[in-house]
Amino acid sequence: MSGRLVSRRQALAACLVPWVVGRRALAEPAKPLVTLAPADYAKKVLAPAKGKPLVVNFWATWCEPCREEMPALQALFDETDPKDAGFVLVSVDSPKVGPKAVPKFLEKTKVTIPCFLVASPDPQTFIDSVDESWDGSVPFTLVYSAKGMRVARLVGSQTKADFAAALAKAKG
Amino acid sequence: MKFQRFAPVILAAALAAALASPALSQEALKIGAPAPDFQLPNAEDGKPVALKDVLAKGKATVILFIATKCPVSNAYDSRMSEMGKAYTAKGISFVGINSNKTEPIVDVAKHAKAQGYVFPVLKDEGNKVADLYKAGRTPEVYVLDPKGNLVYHGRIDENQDDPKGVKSPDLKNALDAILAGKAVPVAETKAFGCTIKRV
Repeated sequence: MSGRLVSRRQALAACLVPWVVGRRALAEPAKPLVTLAPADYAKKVLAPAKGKPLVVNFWATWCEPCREEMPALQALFDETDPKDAGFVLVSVDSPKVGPKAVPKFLEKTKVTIPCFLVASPDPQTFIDSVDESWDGSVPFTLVYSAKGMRVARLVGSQTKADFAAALAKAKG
Repeated sequence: MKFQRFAPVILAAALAAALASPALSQEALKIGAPAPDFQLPNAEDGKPVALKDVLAKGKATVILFIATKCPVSNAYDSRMSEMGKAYTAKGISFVGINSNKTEPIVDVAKHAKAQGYVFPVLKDEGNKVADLYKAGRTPEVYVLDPKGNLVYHGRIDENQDDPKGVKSPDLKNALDAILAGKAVPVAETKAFGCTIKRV
């Protein structure tokens, strides 16, 4: 009896959950953090995405506007076919705090976008390796086209519509 | 037709909004440029503190935009306290400014007292001074010469985690150069920290 009840619930969940949260969230659970040295940005973040647009969001657990905009970015990630665009988070939490705080935050908030952790004791070195005109404030989002050209530079907290518009621009 | 009638009004409103947020729309203060004067209340006793009076007392003036809740700013609390003591003794003036709308003056006073700052921490209600200086983050530092010209802008150092592991003590380098009568070696760095919570 109980077994039948569980299996019915499981069947119901199997039908409804992907519809509710998006199939991508189930397909790609949060990955372990990969650290990112200043020299690694092009190689580890940009290069793997070549051939499709890419959204890169720079954030930190201590940044309130970053935390506020995260659900919007996650919602767009869930709705986007992985073949159509890539999404990457880059945490600028410090090397001391980040390794524990970032996975904890991602798990708690059910964020499944792949996330890197900056592994540079000097934030400015990393900031300049990404974009010399970036003043280092977060949240900060860069959107690249399939050819790797930067097409949008979003400073500060964004809405889902803002992210979607930038991604649409990247898709051309 | 209606749009045409209201277009000047909309444009004027947009212009006014842009001018009301100078920190977001204008470039940062230039090194060598005169820093804007201000007068703000000391969070501890409410008495007004004017920049021109602080400038008159020191060989240089350090303005620190700081916070009470920002983990990055707080990581520098002990460093700011120690530098305040060490360099005040050498004739350099320090002033802290809290511009966060989310941090009331009572909390600013408590935080300053808890850290044992030897310098006043001022409350910038309405983030007017942060706007004048185009300050965006905490901690963010401005160093002025006795004439009030900007000689250093940016961070305290590069290592928020470990004061003993600092390899680029940018603020200290700037102050030591000023005391030695030399030019500041690196006058601009990127301040890294929490965004100032503006009204």
